[in-house]
Amino acid sequence: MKKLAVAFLLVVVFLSCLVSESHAIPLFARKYNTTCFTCHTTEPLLNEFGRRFQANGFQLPGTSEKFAQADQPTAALGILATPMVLHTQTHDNILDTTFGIQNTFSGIEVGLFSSASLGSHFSYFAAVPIIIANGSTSIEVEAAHLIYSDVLNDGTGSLNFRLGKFRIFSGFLKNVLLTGADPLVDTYDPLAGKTANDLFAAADPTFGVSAYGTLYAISEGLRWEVGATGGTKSDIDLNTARAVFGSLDQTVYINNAPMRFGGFYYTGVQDITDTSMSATPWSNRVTRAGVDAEIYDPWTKRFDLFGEYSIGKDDKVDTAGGAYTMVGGFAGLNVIIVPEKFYLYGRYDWMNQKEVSDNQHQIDVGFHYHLLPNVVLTGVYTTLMETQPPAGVDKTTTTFGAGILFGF
Amino acid sequence: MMKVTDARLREPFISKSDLAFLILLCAVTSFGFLLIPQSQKAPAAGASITGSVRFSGAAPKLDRAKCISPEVCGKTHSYDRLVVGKNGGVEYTLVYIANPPAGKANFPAPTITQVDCGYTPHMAIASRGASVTFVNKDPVLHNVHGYYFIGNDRSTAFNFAQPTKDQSSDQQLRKAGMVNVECDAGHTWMSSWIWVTDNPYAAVTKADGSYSIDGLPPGTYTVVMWHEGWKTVDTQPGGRPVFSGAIVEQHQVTVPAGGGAITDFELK
Amino acid sequence: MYLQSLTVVAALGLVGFTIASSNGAATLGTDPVAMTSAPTSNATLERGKLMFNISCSPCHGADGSGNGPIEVNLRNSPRDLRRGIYLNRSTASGQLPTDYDLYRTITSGIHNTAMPPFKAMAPGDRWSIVQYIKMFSSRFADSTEYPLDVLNVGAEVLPSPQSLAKGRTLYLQMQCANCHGIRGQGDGPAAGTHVDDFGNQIMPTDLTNLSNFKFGRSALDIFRIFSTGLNGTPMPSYAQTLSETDRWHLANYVWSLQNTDQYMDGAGADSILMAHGSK
Repeated sequence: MKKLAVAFLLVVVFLSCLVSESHAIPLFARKYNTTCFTCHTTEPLLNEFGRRFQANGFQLPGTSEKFAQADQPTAALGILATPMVLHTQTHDNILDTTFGIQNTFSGIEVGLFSSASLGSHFSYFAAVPIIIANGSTSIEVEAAHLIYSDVLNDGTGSLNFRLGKFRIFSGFLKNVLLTGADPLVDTYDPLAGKTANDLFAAADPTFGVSAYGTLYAISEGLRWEVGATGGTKSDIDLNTARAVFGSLDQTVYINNAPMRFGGFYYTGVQDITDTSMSATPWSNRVTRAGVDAEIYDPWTKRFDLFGEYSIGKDDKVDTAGGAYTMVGGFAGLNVIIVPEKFYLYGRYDWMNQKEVSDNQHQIDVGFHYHLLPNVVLTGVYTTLMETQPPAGVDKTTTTFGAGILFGF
Repeated sequence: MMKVTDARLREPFISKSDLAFLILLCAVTSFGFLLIPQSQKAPAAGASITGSVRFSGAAPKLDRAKCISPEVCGKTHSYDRLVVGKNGGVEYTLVYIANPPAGKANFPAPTITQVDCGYTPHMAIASRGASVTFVNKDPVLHNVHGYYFIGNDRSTAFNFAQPTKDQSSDQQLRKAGMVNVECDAGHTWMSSWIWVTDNPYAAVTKADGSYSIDGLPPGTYTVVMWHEGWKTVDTQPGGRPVFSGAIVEQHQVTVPAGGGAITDFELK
Repeated sequence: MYLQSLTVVAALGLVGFTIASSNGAATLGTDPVAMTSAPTSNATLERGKLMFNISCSPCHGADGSGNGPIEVNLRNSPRDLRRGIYLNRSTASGQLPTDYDLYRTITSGIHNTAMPPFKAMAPGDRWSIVQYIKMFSSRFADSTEYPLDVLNVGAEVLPSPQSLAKGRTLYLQMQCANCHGIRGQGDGPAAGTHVDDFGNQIMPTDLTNLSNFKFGRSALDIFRIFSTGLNGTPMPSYAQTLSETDRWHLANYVWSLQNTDQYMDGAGADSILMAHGSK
């Protein structure tokens, strides 16, 4: 424990030496010479301008890569580090015992980000987290895709293409919510424990191609995406795993406060392998769909209320027939206490998996305090209550955590 | 009889070319006169509205501000928003006609001087399009920051620095309306007003509170008194006081044929 | 002889007429492009409105009031475009910006604020937005605002130890220290007493901090600010007080404050010239 604390402090000191107010700005802020708060309420939560930026292929709204000037950096590299210490414990409500008490250093997850223009209309975006934990280092490619933007040459970003590994645009991407723990509907995985070609957890990055953009000509504040994906593994065989998806999002303004609502739909097939059940793989049809909404209060615009309701269906999780149905969602509130400085957030999640009577409820609250625009102190409290009567499960897992978000 | 043979005497009194030149000169001059707008000719004899602005009761004690240049302006300085003379006359109050007859403003271009960290005169009238001259007589930096008013908002009309003693600058005033001139160099009380107008029917009260608006043909006029107000109602960020709005009063006055009219105003 | 007198009279008449009809001498030049507030085509304004709503309304609001959806979370409020008050100009104190001034602000953004540079937007779209922005304030259609007196830059003076020394002398003579402080750190005796035209408290800029140069860090940008003043703030114009050459010396000195320890004693002249910055 002491070693962990010392390591944590060293990391904090080291990283804070790299930070200086006028020079340390993360990837996009540096590339576009602007502050973090142009696009973010508090990182990683996007504000309205940031959503338009994202939907425009990571270009400023109304701009096009074809006008990228010679003096713009050709490649920009950003780093995000999130060292945290966590205290976790689980209480078994049937046996009335507490177990699994752990104090952990969540490891340093250093995310490398890169984005650059490759010439007229072309650019790329890549996110590669490096996780150092428990004495080992692992590198993933979280996102790496080519973007062809402003296809129609109209300067309004109505049509862009991307190819590679990316997250689909459902209303609430996992990586733009303020959260200590991910939403339950995002982490729902009926195939846990099976050897499967992991195809779909709603918020995970996936290999595919999509067309997306904004449709200002039809309606201001309308964003859309349609695409096709082969799954989360790069060696996936499209004969054994493929899906299509689409999402639509509309923002209206009430007294200049945005009110956003939308929906997404995903459907596909994947082959599942479980030699304990069957010598040959079988095919599972996966469906996920959901609606979401986000409202800022039209008086102070400091209260951001949001929510999602989604359903999931897997029609053959195991050879016994095994259709699984999930319903779930979340509702939350982000509050701007002091602009550019202090934020509070809270979220309630639930998820019900019908066939095995698995019920989960989660409460997640936390705060962000900006020492600098790109250095954020954060504290979280999460409690997850899970009951699964047939399996005799009734437990509550509580986590306290504190840490710092650094972005360069 | 002697025949006149002197060549000069044989020339006509006025030669043809001389005559042509004179005619041309008259034509040019008359044309020039035609170009001058009617109203710049000597005004038709008109009547005057006269009167005074008086303060009833004892003159109140005014707020004072801290001064950052005490060696020039003293440790504190009064806000100077109400100048009451011996007989209760209020100086530097503007009186003007809200529904003026035809007439073009021809006020002499004002010169506003900064002396002892105050603007003198505190209220002036300028013709629209003319230039105002600002002179700094203090050995300290003053900046001349003038504002127009659009509704309750004020917008910078001009803002220039005068760091040197005896420095003089001109500023053209293109828009009609009230201009408030302040100083931002740590002299928060410094303020003067310029009424920029297209017509000549306005006056500023003198030290005894009296005013006179001349050249008015007979008719009924709305005579407006405008005083900047002196009561503090709030404090701005930065510590400057926020004063109550201008005190405006209107009187309907009839100027009879062949006579003048008198109307007085009272402040309290 | 009469012809000569005629010529004299005619010449005098012409001179007199010109003096009587002129608006008074302007100390800066005159921009023929900005002489009038001529209306632009409907197609340009329609395009400007579309692009403004896409790119600008999240901060400035669709009504140009500065109360857009994200305004509440910004330390520097987006400009209320309905007031017609702009800091980044090349015109005399108190005057409107030229069309190019607005175009330049959109293109370069404003450093260290949430206003990003839109240089990757099609130039035609940027010009359309300029014309649309002008509709938000009635000042642009007011004929008494024109002609605009555009800044005369004069011959640029490159920084040198002599120029910096002269600039330092001018900084003290012009009493810049009154607001900006003796070291340019924004802590002069008058600091803290100021309010801008929008009613917000405004502090004199700390000239030693790179981040505070919102409209460009080069000596030319600094020169422009002295000469035009910053409309809507207490920063006055020094165009009538200092000659162009003196303003260049002062601009070079203020520019050197960004790297005080390097340039204070006038040393490192070569690196000064190399790092002089773009125009």
